[in-house]
Amino acid sequence: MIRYIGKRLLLMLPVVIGVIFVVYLIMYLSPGDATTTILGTSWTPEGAEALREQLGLNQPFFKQFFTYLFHFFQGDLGTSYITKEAVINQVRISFPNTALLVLISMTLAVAVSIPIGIRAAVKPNSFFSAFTTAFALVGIAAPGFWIALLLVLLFSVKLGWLHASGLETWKDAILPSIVLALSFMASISRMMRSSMIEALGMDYVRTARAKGVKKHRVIYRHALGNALLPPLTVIGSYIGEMLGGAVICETVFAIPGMGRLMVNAVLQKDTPSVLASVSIMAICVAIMSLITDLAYAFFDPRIKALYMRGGKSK
Amino acid sequence: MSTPSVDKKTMSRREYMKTYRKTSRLKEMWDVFVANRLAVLGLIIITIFVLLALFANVIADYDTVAIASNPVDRFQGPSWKHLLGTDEMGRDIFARIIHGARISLRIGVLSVLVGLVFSCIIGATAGYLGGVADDIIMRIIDIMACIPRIVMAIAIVAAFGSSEFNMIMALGIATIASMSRVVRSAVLSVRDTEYVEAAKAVGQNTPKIVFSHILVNCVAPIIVQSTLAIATNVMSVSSLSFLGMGIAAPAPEWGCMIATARGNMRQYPFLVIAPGMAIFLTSMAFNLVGDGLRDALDPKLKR
Amino acid sequence: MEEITNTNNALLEIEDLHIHFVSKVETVKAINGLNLVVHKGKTLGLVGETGAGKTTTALAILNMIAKPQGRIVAGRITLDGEDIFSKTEDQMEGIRGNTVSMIFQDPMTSLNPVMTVGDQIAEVLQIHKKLSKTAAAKEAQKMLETVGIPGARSVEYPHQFSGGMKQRVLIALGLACTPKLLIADEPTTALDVTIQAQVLELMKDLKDQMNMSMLMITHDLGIVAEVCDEVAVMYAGAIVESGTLEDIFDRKRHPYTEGLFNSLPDVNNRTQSLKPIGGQMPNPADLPQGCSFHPRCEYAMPKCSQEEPPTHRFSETHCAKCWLYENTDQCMLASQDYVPSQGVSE
Repeated sequence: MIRYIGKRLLLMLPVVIGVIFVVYLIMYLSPGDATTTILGTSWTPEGAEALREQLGLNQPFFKQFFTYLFHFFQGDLGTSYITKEAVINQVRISFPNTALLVLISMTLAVAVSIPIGIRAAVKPNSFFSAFTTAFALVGIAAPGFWIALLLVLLFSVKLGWLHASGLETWKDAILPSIVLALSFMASISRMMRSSMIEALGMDYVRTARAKGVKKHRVIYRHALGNALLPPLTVIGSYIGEMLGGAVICETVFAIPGMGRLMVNAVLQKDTPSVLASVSIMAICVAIMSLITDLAYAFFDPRIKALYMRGGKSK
Repeated sequence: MSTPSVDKKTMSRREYMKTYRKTSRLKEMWDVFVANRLAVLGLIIITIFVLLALFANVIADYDTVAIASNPVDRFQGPSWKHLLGTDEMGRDIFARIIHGARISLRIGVLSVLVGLVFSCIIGATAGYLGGVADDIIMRIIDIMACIPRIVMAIAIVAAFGSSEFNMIMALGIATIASMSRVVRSAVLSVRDTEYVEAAKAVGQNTPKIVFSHILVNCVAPIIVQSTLAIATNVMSVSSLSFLGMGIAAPAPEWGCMIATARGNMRQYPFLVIAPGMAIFLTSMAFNLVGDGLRDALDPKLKR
Repeated sequence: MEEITNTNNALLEIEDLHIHFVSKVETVKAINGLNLVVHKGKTLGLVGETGAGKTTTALAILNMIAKPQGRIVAGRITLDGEDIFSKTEDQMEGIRGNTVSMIFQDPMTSLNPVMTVGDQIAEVLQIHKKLSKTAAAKEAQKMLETVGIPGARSVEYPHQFSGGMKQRVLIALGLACTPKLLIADEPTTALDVTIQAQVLELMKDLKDQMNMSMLMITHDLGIVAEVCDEVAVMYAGAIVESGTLEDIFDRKRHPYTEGLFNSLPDVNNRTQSLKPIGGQMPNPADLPQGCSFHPRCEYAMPKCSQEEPPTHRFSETHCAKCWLYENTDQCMLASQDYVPSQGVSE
């Protein structure tokens, strides 16, 4: 198992390099010139040329890229064109906020939606089940920023309970976390429901009942033990979607996180910050998907056996 | 099926088909789809939005009603003249929403088509060739999948500018990662079936096999996935515009309308609610139809 | 047949069972007036095509018909002197796996993939024998050894076993609490022929050792010949002919039973072409009037499509449900009495 983890970590390296490459390529191909952004009104042809020399923008693409990569792995993410500050410092401030937001939302989404999904599956024709389906639909189809504004309207404008922006106290995290969690609650509970319904129809559940296992235990030991696996894999892959949601959420609630860093950088054409924020988010996704894979292997003996034999994941 | 009182031995093939196969496959799918009331609701909503978008210019002129400001009529409530009231510049909200439907549907559908073309090529190649080619292609897709959809779209729009064409390409490219996986697994599931073996055996060339035999039989999951992707992309269009990276004011894009209305949200919440409802209804409708299609087209996925 | 049966000798009795599955669009009549007796220490083979209602019958014995769609419209099941349908779910949980246990058709999917096989066997012992965890684990190992699997493998997961091995595990699971009745629902259909023989042999041996009764559900007449003492032929949710092994193999009377045998290849007469039964099982949601077999029956008379035939008794053990025997005991079938060949009934 440890060998497998080591191997997977090693395999992650090309993915990380690939991600940085893709982002770098997009930024490199973009028309326009960084010097106009940096120099602004004091732009002169000579000054621009000197600046290009200084930033290494005159060099061939692959040289630029490998220089960037080399610095990246040393923790040097470049200097912001706008604030002239080291990007790594911006990241240091932003990253914990986003991590906190995502962590709270993820916990919230899982804690609420797994039990909901189970209950909806156990009583498939109940009002509760219908309600869950409707709720899931709202969560999936309503855009996050709109839900955010509606909640702000209700809780800070009408009721005056919570702040509409910032991240000063724990109370400020409530609305953004709910917004971010909502769409994932929807899809996780939906998935949990169908996974559980499927598990309850499996032959081994019938075997368990036929040997006299109590109904409660049939549901929570035999069916649930299997039904949890598909949602589990999905939760890991939602991290990406969640970071995407965080971009919007942080903007609406003015939370100084990675998403806002990226959006501001994009709007100001601050290439080093864009590069760094996108790359770091992508690396987080890669790490999470590795963790999910490992968790899956831990819970499912079939997958574990596959890994132990040195087989590859699909 | 009831056993009709026809003597089986004397029955012609045609009569047999008539009695025993009452329904064609398409009809059967349609029946399953129609039996799903939510899916029908979705289809109705989509039809309404498409009709409104098609005849937007007939219902309300773009330049004079949806764009030109009319300070006298600012912040009016709903009335017969302005079905959903007016905004901070006195523009008719209903007119703006139906013109917005044009933008959202156009970008939503076209971006999915762009993604679909790429995904079919990538997924079919990977799935059909298998082996090393498959490994390399899928690792590249893995890399793309690490970048969240909306972040990918933002990065592309940021790099190349936020024209409508760029948005279509950006959202299209952002769907490739998930869509090509669907295509690949669909291809894998039919690749080794007998009819593909048979086509190989009679010596058809590879592209012909892929397109005329394999992709055709993968249509069901691809259609379902595309419908759901339209829902996602309609939301993404408005999200990008809301963030100020998509369609810019004064265009009546839904996300853009919400962003503009945000400043007056406290006094006039309806300005935020109305375009949001439009996004929600469209996205929900495509989701419902997608689910309905999943049940109708792919009996394997049914519970 | 109930009036003839010696009740003291019967372990399981099913009387006039009717089960319907009701949905919005249709009512599926799965079981229609089924009568069945399994005697103590005997093996009854329940034979019929796919869709005849064999598995539904088995699930009814365990009182596991899926509610609310599945409805027991009429009938009684008596198992070991107890009326099954009058039991509460709690009481049933005490009977399942204890007095009666069931081995399902597909060993590949019938074991829980995320529990070790040892735990799965131990679970049934903990429930019914109230054994402690360790005692149950030990007993589970012993059970595995009884079915020919090394006890050390009890910590392994189902995916580590082959199909035949999994079926052995399921047998161990079924027999762990030494039930009085073992229901085996096509236990060998999913297995290779060579493995089939091993598993059947094992079941036969263990059945004799534990002195229990067995209800062997199958569509394979070869298996019936091998392990059964008595046979009941099922069609469209009812028994059309029942009797001892010899009654059915050598003195069959019902046209459907004849059809089943004609569908079998005969090793000794390979030039003879097979004679499959024409047509298909009727849709249980739309059963034909009268005898449900009449649309496919070569001997069908006008009466057959109007009235349901009565059960005609030929001997203590043998009876058939057919209008052909309204006035006679003589065999009315074209094939006449079967001369046992080396191939089928040894």
